Amino acid sequence: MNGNPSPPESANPRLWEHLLSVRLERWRRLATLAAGRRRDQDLAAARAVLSGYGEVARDVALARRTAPDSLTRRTLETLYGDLHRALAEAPSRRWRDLVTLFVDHVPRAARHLRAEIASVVALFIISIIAGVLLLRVYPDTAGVFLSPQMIETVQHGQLWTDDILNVVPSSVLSINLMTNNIAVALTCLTLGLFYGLGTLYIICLNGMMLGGVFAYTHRFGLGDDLYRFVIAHGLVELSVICLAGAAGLSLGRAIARPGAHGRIAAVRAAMRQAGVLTAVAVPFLIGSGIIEAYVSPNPEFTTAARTVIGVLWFGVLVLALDGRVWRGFRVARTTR
Amino acid sequence: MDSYIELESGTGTGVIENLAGAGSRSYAYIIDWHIRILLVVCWYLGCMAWLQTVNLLGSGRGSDLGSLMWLNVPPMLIYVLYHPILELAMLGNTPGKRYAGVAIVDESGAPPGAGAILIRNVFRLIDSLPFAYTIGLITVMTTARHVRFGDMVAGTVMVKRTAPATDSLDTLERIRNAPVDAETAELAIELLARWKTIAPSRRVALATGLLERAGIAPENTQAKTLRRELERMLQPL
Repeated sequence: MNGNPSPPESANPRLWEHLLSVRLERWRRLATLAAGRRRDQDLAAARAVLSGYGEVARDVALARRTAPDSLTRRTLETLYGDLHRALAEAPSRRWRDLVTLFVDHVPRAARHLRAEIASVVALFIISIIAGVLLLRVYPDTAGVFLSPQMIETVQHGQLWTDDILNVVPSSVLSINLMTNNIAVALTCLTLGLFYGLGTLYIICLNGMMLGGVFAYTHRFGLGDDLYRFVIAHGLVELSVICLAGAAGLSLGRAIARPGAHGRIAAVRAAMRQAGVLTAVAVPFLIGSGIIEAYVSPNPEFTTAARTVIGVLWFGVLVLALDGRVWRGFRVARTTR
Repeated sequence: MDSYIELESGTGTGVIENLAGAGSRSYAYIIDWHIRILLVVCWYLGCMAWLQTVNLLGSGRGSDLGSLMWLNVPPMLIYVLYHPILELAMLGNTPGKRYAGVAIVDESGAPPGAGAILIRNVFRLIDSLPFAYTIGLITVMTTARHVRFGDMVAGTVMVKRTAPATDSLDTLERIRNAPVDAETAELAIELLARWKTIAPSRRVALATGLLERAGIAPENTQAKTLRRELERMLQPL
């Protein structure tokens, strides 16, 4: 310790007193450095913290053996923690982290889960087809997917969405829709904890509902109207649910086949990937909620305009998941 | 169940952080909840004052959608965005957490990144189910690290923040400068700090024992005298 000779370890109380007598001033200097504002400190201060960190680590180890119940040990633990935080804390990284999340982590998570994403999308499409076939073969099963009120509205040649803005203002509607969509996506993800079966159930149910509702409205000549209502927001909304489903499946896989590191570690790693995908899902669901409230029920938007909005919004989602555009921007900035 | 975690440090000596349990977490949340409610009430009072000033209700425009939106959307945003925005701006802290003496850290012990903060806040929706943060409270009470679901996903833990080391270094200096051995000096300082909270007979016994240990014979066994002797014992020579 700074060249000070260490007394024999058997003389524990003496060692404790020795530690106090020779190191206290150094601890005080380090405590002042650790408590100071990082932005006010220069390189010399940072170096002092770094070298002091190692010294205090040794002092802590010594105090844990020689005086485990003492105030010296507790103070040193606090000082060690303060120095650790001072070194671990990156300088004002909060906004850079946000960028890193979207530019690096999201595309990486999407690449990591591409097999699950493909499986969930395939399952969703199969469920849509199953829903359509079910309604074609057994039209009476409409009650499984639609409420009696909705069935009655469709039978009168109207969609239940037609008067939606007369009941609720767009602003309130969009907040309700956002919350509902985020809740569905999170439910789809977390039900993956049941070995992935809960996620599969939600994906199949949503797919069959979509297919069934389209088939039923088509019977009454309202298929185009429903398409017009859904296309602007639905592409992204359903894609995000599929993403949540893929993350849910990875959770299920982590529980069913945890690998060498154990179940808890596997679930934690899968959760991390799932969380990253959820972080990207939320802004897109908020966007879809706004579109669903302001564009989808508004008769002034033509089918073509709605399709363009839907496809463009979906394109942004694909670009966000791909990450190549962001990386291109970064390379261009670095080159410049 | 452990109430602390030992973080890896790279020096070979782990950094010990005390974990915040359900009590500290709830305390911090309740403070933050009150702050949110206070902000919302202030907003509504401000709106009412403004409406009265311009006599908007009297002119029949108070019930239109625009006014309804101005009245209700900001409180909703305050409620939903309070935690993510403050945690982003205050490096994982909120006024409630700061007051309750807790903080969020990642697995290295550093303040969490923006991604982790966003993730743990999105998962509030799950933790708050079915009502009053039931799922969150159950996971906090049953997991080894006392974490809610959002923390598990984001890889964060909530730890207790102690006062900075500078405060207790003054006490250590007193221990070092005392003419008795460090252990006796520390016990004497602790006894004096808790003097009034200890039963009179017990503190007399403890003080007498400590003075005997230091080789000091007190004039009498009155509490006042013993206290004065202890303080004199700690005076540097």
